[in-house]
Amino acid sequence: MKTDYEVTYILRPQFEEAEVTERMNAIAGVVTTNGGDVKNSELLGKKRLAYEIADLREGIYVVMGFTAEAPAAKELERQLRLNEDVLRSLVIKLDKRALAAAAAPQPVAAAPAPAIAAPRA
Amino acid sequence: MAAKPKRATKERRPKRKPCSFCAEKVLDINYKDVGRLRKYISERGKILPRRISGNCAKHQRLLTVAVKRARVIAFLPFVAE
Repeated sequence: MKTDYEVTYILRPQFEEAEVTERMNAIAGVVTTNGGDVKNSELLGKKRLAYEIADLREGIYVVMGFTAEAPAAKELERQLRLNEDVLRSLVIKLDKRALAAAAAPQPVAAAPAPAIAAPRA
Repeated sequence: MAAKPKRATKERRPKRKPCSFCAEKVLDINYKDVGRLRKYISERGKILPRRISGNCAKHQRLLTVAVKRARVIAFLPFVAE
């Protein structure tokens, strides 16, 4: 059974826009090749890190929601760890509470940023 | 004073703060909502106890998970001087 997941990862800050898009597509590709579906993808942009990671003080944040079987999510986690361009990643399962909150219009919710098209939509 | 339950004279119970999440009927606490989470951590970066924050048990549980997730992806510090 497919489960809803959300992954947030941090790319190295020196990448240009095109390089970021390329890497986002590659990572989304890991999900799709393993039978998952990318639901939404959002580039949060360059943000300051709360603490240094690999001697860096900032990073490019990307959030991607997807549904997949559990092994596909595991594979994504593995690939993210191996990827040198990714400083840190966090894959979480979206529980019914999170899904309900996402469905309900929140007054203080962050404005939906322009979604970057996923490959092989 | 109205008839309140009698208490030992020495200890005093401060007024129970209302849970700010309940007041807003928050369904879930998102780890990406850094501005909001910051209100519930100390200067050192520690999570404030319910006694201080006044959160209800349910929302405190959600909050702690959200803060811990935020720490992993460097939205919040594990320790801050």
